[in-house]
Amino acid sequence: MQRKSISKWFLFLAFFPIFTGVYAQDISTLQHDLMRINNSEQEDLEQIHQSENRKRSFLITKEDPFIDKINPIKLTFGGLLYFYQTSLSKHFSADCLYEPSCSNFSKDVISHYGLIKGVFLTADRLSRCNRIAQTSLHPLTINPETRHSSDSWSKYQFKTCNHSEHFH
Amino acid sequence: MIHKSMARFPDVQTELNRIGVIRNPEDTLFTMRAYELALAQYMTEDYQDALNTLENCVIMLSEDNPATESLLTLKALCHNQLFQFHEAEKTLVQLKQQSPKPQSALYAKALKKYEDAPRYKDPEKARHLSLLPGLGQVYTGKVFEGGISFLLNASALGFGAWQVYSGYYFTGYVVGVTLLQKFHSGGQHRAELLAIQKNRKNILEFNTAITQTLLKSPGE
Repeated sequence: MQRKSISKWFLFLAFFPIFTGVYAQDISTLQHDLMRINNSEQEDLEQIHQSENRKRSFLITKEDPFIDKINPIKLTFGGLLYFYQTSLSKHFSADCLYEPSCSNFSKDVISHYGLIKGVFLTADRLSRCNRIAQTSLHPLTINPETRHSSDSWSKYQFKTCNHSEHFH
Repeated sequence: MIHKSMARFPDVQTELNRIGVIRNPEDTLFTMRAYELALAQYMTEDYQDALNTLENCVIMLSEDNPATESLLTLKALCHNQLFQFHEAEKTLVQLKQQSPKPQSALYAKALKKYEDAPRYKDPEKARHLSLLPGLGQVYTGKVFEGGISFLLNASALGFGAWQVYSGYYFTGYVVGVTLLQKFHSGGQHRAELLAIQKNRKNILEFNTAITQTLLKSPGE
């Protein structure tokens, strides 16, 4: 008998906060949900504004040594890449097979390996970015979300490195 | 409720769809299920499904049902998302008439915002207009981008024609026509994308303005 009453009290104590919570929620459900909708839509709007105001980085950065900043070949390549990415790319009907895209890859390899190796790797990447080469992509390199094959600059260095360093 | 608080709206839909048919429309579970299901559909951007759920529920309710306000408010937001401003206005007018005075003032304020409702840019129309390069972009409000698209197409065509005129038929075809095809189809795709993006941005701005008005306390 005593055990039954204890279990009743236990059930009461367990469900009391749930019932009161549900009741309290019911009163302001609409206001609460409107707030949730508003917050989610403002976040979406913020993302749209950010993507609209996104600025492309230039091949040569402020941290680069002075000799790189005045290198005319690097300036020309950087300028061409910048022009392509900001003005030309969006008018061109082509979808890159890889991530990062060919132009971003080119920027990465030139800044990490220098002009000569960078230009060769860019030419290699461009020759692989077509429908015929698509058939020989390794399935495990394809990101299921973006459906692009991962092919970053760090795959092409001779020295072994700790990949996690590049993500910090 | 747990899925909802964790913002897992597809799971909310699955769980709510497991509830069997409730025949009595005055049953609170009937309206609660419809409201929560429509909210989950709205949050997963299935606006047409949310609207269907709400309409199927509202049509069966009596006017004095306490759940009508929340259902109709959500219905107006769904109409907004689908650019059906006339229907959204009608829903808000209905809400204004049914609500007590301080609340109806909020709906009146929200209704005023429909004077500056954004115009729908048809993505398909933008794509078709881009048959003349740049016109689709101009339609979506990007005049400068449209000009660049026109110049790129014209220069590709001009280069091809010049090469053919000079007797370099192979170069004219391979470079000129290929570039023209790439720029032309790229321009069409871009115009369509711009229309979709513009619609999304416009409707988010408009809907947040509406929800902010409805969230204000009646005295403000």
